[in-house]
Amino acid sequence: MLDQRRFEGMLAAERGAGELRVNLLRLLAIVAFYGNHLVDLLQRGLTDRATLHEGIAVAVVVALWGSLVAHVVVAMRLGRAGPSLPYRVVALDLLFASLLVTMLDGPASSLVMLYPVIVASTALRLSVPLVRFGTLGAVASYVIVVALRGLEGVVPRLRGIGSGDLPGTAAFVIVVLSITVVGLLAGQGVRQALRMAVRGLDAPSSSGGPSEAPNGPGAGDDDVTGSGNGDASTVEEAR
Amino acid sequence: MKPSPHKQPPAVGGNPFAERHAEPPPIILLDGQDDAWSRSVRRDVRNDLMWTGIALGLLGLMAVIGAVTAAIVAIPSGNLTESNFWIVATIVGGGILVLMAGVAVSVIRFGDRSTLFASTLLGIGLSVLSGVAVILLLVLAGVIFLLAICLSIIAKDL
Repeated sequence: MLDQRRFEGMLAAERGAGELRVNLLRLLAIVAFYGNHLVDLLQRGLTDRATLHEGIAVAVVVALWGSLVAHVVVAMRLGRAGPSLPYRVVALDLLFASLLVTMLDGPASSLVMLYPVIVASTALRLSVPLVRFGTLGAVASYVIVVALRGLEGVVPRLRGIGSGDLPGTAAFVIVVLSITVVGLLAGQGVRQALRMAVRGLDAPSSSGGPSEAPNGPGAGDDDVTGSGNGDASTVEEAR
Repeated sequence: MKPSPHKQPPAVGGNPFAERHAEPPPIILLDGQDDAWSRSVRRDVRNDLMWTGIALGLLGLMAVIGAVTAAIVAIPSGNLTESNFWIVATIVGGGILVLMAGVAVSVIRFGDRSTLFASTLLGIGLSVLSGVAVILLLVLAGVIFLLAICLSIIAKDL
């Protein structure tokens, strides 16, 4: 019979490790994207005021994003990673990505590819609710960015808030569908992984994992997915 | 079950100093298990933390290089006004802060809370110093610029 406590302990540890892995990959992505931006900026030269402001704005967002990475590690190390941590981190990821899309080339640019990347990153936390949250949040963020750009022509106060063109209807639908499909695939991946884990633990085992649910991030009150009781239902769901 | 190597002994005699300086729990609690699965998780976490520290330092350096380059390119072209100069100086400070956060992330694997606070304070101090250094450099650049104008006027008179 499945030792539910043992399963929850192992799941919490894997979720914590997943959070740290996502944190590292997020940071490497920021370094790569920002490096590309700096090279592009130097090639174009800071000939006008708008380019200088763009460079400063991107640097501020990158510094904030870097601080988020440090915050996640420090919060987990000090045992202060509450159940809402991954949700807050995903929400901030979406906010920073939306700021970059708005400030740089607009919602018709290739920067909107950041949204599916963020949705894909939610899968590493092994939580279906988080994948749902990330997917819906990404779609909502993209719609808001497009709406802001569209309203700029109508509401004078919003003028100058962003740059770039509005995407066409077909392009808009394709981006929304892409984000949704990536979310569905990520969710299915998580469900299959959990089901396989439950199947593996159903089999007799001699070594075993932790016999107690950890008190670090990812379990009980500190559960990184914030699912708390949801972990028990995760076991049943995965079965 | 083996005892956890991370568990701290209780404070002797209820010494508040000892309690305050007790190490926080490990970042991922595996309860002292030593099977293949937990070894793999531990190895992953250790490597991720190490690379996160290195990458944060790299990002901080890039932010500093980006801000300084922007300032250097913007001064001669006249695009750097007094108002956005402060923004550039803040970004340089922020960059160094992120750099120091990287160092902090690297040391918290081994250190305790006081090490973390010391690193953060050091980062804030360096940010302030770098802001002051940028101001001094810009003042120096301004003086040289004025001198150049004066010299060109004198040269014209000659």
